[in-house]
Amino acid sequence: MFRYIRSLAGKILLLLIIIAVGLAASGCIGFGAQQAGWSGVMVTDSSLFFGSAEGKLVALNTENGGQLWPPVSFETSGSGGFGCAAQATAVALYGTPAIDGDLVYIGGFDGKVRAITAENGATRWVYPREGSLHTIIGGPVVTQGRVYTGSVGGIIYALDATTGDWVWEFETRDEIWSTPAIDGDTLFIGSFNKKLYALNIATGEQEWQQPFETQGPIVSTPLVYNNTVYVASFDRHVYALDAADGGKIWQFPNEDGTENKPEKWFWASPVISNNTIYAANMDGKVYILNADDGVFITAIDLGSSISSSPVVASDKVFIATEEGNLYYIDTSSNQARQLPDLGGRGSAPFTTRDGGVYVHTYKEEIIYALNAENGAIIWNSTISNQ
Amino acid sequence: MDIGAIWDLIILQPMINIVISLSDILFNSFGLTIIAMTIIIRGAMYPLTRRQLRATKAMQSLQPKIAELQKKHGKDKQKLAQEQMKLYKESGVSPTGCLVPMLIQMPIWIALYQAIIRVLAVSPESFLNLSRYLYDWPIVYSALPLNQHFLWMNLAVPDLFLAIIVGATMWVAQKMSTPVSADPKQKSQGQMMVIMMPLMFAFLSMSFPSGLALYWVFSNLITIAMQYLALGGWGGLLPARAQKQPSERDKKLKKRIAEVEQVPTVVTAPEADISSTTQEEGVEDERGRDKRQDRGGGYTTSIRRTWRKPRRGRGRRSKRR
Repeated sequence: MFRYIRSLAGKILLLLIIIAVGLAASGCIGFGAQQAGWSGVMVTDSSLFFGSAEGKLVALNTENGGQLWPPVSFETSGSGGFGCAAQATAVALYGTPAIDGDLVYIGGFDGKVRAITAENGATRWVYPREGSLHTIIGGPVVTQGRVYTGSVGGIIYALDATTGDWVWEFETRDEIWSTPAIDGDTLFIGSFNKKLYALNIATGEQEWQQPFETQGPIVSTPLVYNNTVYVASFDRHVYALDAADGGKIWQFPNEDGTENKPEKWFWASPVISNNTIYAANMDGKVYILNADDGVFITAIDLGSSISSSPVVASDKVFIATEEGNLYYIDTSSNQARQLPDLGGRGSAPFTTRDGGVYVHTYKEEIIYALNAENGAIIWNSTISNQ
Repeated sequence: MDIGAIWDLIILQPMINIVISLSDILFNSFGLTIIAMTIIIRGAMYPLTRRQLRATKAMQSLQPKIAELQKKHGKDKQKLAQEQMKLYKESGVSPTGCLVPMLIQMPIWIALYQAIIRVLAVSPESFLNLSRYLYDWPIVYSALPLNQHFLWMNLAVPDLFLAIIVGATMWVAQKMSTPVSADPKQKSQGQMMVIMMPLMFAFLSMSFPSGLALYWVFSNLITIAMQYLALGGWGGLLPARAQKQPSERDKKLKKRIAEVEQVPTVVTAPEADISSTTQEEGVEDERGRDKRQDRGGGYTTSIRRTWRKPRRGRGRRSKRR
């Protein structure tokens, strides 16, 4: 009898161990794949806003990085998987917030767009009010009283900026990770279906006869300059298109170009300075091209993968590798200068305003404010302390 | 270079690029790619699998002898171990024979599993991570992102129905390969594995992307097919009837038959028929008893004949009780 009980206890113990291992592996108790997010920073005259890895909207002042109001948490109740209790998890925030008037707009991995009062962090509206859209990865853009955002469900939404009411939507039938770019009355956005769309911001109708098609998904934000749209794709090409009709002006590398061919995806958005395009590739190189004809000028090898979109400030291109190595490229000489490494990894886009350059690192979550003239750190703020 | 980097370079990176390229060939269907990769890898690993299955079969065939040894030396553990080793040596069976081929195959299975998870890339972080593994092949860049929809499933999210199939197929595969041990302890452990492994994998399938579950299902189906061919049947799933031990009910029944044979037979049929029947009964009974050792329930031919009901009408068949 005693032996039987001992044997039964052993079996129960083994059963519990196996269930625990299964739970651990399945993510019920926190070992599953997690999304952290890498939101960029939106800067106004005196304050900046960004989404933290803990799923919070953080507001700091631009003077010294001091906190303006307690971070606003966004949580979603996950199902917890079969047999697991539902638990609240932080919403990953990848898109850079947008600001218009007194409202800050941010989209979350939980498929909701939120409008938060810039002054005190109070929620003004949430879209949709019930349920959720597909996951939102790209950031929102706000103009002329409307908020525009794409979702992983392949739909671009236009919402009323004041009330959060639906205005129109356009379906691309594949995932959208890109933040839209708006120029005049046209919205440009790339999709996982390898196409770049041009939509009328008032109606949501296509402005080009057909979208421009590349050979790879487009996750970067297009650059619009002088009626030309510059877009970088996962197909390892940079394209220049006529903004009016989507006609191709040039592509780099060209059809028979085998030299200086980028080796990996273009995740980061291209930037322009002095009629020169700077396109950072995940092969660790920044490809420098003539904006008029796409002729290759040079490439600067920064040593490791680049997914963070650079920014131009004071005739310098500020850029960081995923490893957190910080550089600026002098646009007059196209020479790179290495700055002190960032404390965390870099995938969030850079932002500039009033002589300052701002970047948000992840893993070690730190906000840096740099002097655009020399790249010196003005202040930094570690987010885990917020 | 650390071991992780070597693993990525030599095994994982080629696997990921082959999976993506194959997907481009297979109509950009990631579901078909998973099935094809599972078949290709299991096919390539067949020589090792065959060795493993042969070892399993040999171990199964030794179970009656091991049971005898346990009966004989059950109390002397040392002696039992010695005798078992001697038996293995004489029979040319290695107790680790099933284990070594399985261990060699493990890295390939793990690599395929990792490749599926990485290629599915459900979050921006995992997609970013995927780029590190890509070769400079145009086919790889044109194939991505892979079509995650297959039949009714989105391969990037869990699927309950597929999870149930994972559990069911794994149970069949486990049941087939588990030897029927005479040792109650080993038998209990074997039974636990047969139940727990499918349960665990079914549970994991409910939490992981269904692409992985699809791989498990087809891997299990191939295992079942290979085991069927190698073991010459369903193995432990449907053990041969000849191997079955007589049950308590059978033993009682035999005793009852013996008792019945001691008492005079009650008959209702004409005497002429009785004599002819009783003459045959000895033979029939022995024959019936031999067969009955392997069957449960029912009565022997002799008893049934004894209790035959009289005919009620013309052409009407007799009913058996």
